[in-house]
Amino acid sequence: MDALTFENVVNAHYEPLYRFALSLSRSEADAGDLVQQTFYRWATKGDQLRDRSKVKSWLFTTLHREFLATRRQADKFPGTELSTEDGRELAAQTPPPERQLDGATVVEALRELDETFRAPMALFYLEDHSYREIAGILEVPIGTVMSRISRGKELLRKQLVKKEAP
Amino acid sequence: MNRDEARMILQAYRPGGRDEGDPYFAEALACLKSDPELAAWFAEQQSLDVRIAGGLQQVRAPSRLKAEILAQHKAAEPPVPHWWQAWFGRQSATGWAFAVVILAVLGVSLFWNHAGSRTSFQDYSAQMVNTAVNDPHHVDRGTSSLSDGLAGMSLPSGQNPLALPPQLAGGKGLTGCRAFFWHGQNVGMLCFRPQTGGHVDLFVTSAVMFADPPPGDQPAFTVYSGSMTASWTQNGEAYLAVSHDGGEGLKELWSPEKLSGKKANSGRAVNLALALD
Repeated sequence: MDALTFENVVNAHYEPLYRFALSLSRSEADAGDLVQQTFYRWATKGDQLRDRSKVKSWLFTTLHREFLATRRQADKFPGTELSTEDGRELAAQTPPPERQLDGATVVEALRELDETFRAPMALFYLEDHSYREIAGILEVPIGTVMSRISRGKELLRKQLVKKEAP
Repeated sequence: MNRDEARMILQAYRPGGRDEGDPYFAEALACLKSDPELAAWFAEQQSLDVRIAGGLQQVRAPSRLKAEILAQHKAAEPPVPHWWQAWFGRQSATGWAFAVVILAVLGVSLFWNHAGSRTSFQDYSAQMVNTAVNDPHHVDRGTSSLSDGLAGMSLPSGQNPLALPPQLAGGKGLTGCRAFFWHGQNVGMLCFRPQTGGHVDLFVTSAVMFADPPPGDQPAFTVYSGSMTASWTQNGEAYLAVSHDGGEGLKELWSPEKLSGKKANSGRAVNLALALD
């Protein structure tokens, strides 16, 4: 149980969870809220997870569910404007196209994808999960994940080409 | 597998990644060796993938976020289940039944332990005889007043009237009192010099402490260590009268003929006398 103390779990997973959350949501604040809410769920319900080797998948699945729940809430109140401040900051930091893509550019490009492709693409590039695990996290069939990755990569490429254009 | 099918599959392949060795990709990867155009496309794809993944890895979570998560956890201290909550929360009906059996066994065990902790009236009698006869500290204070004597006995049930033999009724012949503990229970003692002669100590304590208290309100006479005793139970109290004289004089305490020429003034005294007859 020591390896799964709350602090150990946070240390091991909060960075990739944040990257995933930032790719899904529209601001750092929203991403932070998603990660916090995910760890709160872990603190209150994590003991129900019998297979302790699946902590990572559990956390990513939970974060994705929280995101979907948040989005549904936002859909109920369309008058609530989400912040785009972080997006502007990220766009200003876009590097020259011939160099390594920076995190801000990638996150911005991911955010501009349709939500259908955003989550599988983010999980794919986080490289923490196999495509089978991605299917489990998103709770969709493996074939659906494969097709969304394939289509999502094409769309993401277009987004990056636009951003890298002078 | 044609080129389009291979492209579709290879889009999801990350060399050296978590899908390495997955047979799902084997056939598509084999196509790369025989299709240079596909191989070129795949190399370009891999280059882009590396750039994107590298970019995403650059993203760092704000350090304050981790601190906030840990602080929130410590402050709120979410409901970490007690061991029994965790245990019972996962148990089936069989588990619950098992738990009920365990609790029942514990209950019975506690009951018998409690019953076993009760002492024997015989042991008590032997100890009280020794106290009456041999203890140099015989009484706490001398008094001829029954109310003083009752107060001096410090019995929890001190509000109850004592069930005294007719010859001791009203505190006749009372000379002193004492209070002490025996096996954690209050014991009160009254010392009498009855008109019938002799020296009698009366010990009173709760009958609950005994596994074998005197069975009724009629005196049972027994000799302990050479001393005649009379014991009875009334109103939840166990009485033990110890005669220092060792003779038949103790029985005379219940004799109505000895009530200073008066008739017995209570039905109980008469009944006791009849019982003795």
